[in-house]
Amino acid sequence: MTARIRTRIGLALVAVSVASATLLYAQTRIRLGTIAPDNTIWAKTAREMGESWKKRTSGRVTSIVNAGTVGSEESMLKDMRISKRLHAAQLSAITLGHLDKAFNVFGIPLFFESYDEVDRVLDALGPTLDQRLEAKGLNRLNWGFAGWVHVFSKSPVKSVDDLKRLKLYTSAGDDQMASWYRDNGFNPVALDPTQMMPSLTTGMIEAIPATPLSAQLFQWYEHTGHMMDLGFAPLIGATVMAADVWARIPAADQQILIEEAKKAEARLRSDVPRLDREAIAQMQKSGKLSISKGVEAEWRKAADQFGKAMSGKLVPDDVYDVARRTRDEYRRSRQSKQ
Amino acid sequence: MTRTVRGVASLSLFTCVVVASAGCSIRRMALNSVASSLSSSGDTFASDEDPELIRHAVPFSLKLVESLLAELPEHRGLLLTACSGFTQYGYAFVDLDAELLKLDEYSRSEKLRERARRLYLRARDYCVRSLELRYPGIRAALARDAAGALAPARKEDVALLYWTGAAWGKAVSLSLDRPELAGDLPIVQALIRRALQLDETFGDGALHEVMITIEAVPEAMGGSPERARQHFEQAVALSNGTAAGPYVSFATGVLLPQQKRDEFIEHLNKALQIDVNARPSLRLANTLAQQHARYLLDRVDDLFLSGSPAQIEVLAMMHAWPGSFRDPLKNPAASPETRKRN
Repeated sequence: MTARIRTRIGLALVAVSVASATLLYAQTRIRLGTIAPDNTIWAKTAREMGESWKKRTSGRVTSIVNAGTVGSEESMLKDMRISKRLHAAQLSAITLGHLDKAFNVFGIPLFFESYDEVDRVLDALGPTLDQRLEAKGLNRLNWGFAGWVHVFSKSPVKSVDDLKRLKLYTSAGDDQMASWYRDNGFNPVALDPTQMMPSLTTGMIEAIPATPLSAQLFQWYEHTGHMMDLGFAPLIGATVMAADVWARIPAADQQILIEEAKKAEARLRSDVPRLDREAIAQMQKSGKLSISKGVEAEWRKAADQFGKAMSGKLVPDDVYDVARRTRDEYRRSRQSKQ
Repeated sequence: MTRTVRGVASLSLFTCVVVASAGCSIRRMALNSVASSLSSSGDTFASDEDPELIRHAVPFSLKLVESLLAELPEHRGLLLTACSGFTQYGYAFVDLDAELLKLDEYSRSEKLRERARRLYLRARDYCVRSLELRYPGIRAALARDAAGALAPARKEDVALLYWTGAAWGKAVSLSLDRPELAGDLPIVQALIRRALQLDETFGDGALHEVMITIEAVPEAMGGSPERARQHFEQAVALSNGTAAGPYVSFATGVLLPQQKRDEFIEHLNKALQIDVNARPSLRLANTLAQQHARYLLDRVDDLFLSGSPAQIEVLAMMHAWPGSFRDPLKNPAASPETRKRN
């Protein structure tokens, strides 16, 4: 082979490499996982978002949504970070809290009274939480909303002591949360979520924290019969993408992805609270759910103690402080307008 | 007696009766005769080898049934025909189309799903009307205590219970974002369980096939993969292995959520090995189940977690050279599973 021919082959190879490198950006296929089964609002929203990505990027970014078929949130998170077969996922703040305690701020019992308060705190904490996620190799595309957690119980819960008397479900693997409940006088029973239904049937657990939508869909309410009207906490989530996958997407397309993700967020923010209300109405209509009225003053007083007890241990102090300050400022501004 | 001879005899009787007398009762008798013929029309549709022909023929028949029901609103045979007909049409020619489009054209798929949901609900309402005629007050009782409401049901009700459960269950499965329907799952479960108690052999294992899907719900909802597997085995046994549906239901309901890729492929390949001509009464159902199985095998890489981080680059390069590379996600010929199948 002459030097000239070798040079030509070399140049051709370089040309192919350059073309390939350019075309690495030509199409990115995002595999997005969610534990929500198909035909739920979360799976639908994810699929709509993926379709918009494809349309608006002219096919440069496509997606495959695996709904309810790729394991638990924990396993999806692990896959995104280690095996990297999954590129993005809808994850709850509970799972993100295992990654970074800052996300536990959304789970402080009775810390929030309304979605408006949640919106303010999400805005205030967003940049901090994003930085924390980026440090773990994840990029947040949007916030998600899964409903507002209430206590569903086999006997009416009105006071804090009513709940302390019941065997309360907590998710297995979260020892810190379980011991926090125990230290504060509750009676937690740590179980795998798959054991929720049989444990309710046998009486191994007597109270569960659940959103009305999930309590109806999973039929847990039929085995509890009671729900306290005071909501415990919003179940916040986020769509996150592995940072290395995100980095492959050109900036202009990243912008499109974010815009469409925000539309999905807006839909969840608007529809999920409505669906929670409808689920409560349907469960009551069935005659199988009674709503017990919580002693609000007592719970609100306890709520402050819950927050203080969690701050520093389960939620970083600085995150808790920002959340509390933002929430309190919003409450004051509302009061001054009234 | 051949079908033609029977038809002539019916027509003669009809003519004689019309000539002999007149009035509403005659008209009603004639309508009843036609209604009975329609509601026991055998497996003309089910045994057809041409799904496209059936796709276009069924709507006409269904509208005819509905026209007759407008005149004979309490004809239980017609009600069951309408219920089963709308359920089957909704599944075979609307819902399944939606499923095959879901990964590539989601908006179109959703429009079809919405149409399928309305067809299932229409079917459900015909069945419930028939149940009400037989057990007055059962509609309200089902919402209060489904198992208790169905206790009086007898073996002759099994077909009605099955189709009520099938139509309602499909409607619920497409309505998980609608609390007014999503909470009806216990009613569906009770309908199928009661039918199973009364006659587990119904439809050559059709009840067990539905139970695969019912038991495939998440364990947190009371489902059980183990029980689903038992129903799958029963469905296969009762159909003597001639039905493709149980294999597809088990693969999608149990093996996919468990990410058991090899077993998933194995079961779908078994569905494809079934001879659609072996059981004429299952020809259409098997043809459609195999169509679904083929689609799932073609998209197996989308459904299961696989590949490595490098997969993204590889895909990008393949799309860069149209004609030079064949995308294994779009072209089954390139995937090892399909090669094995072929």
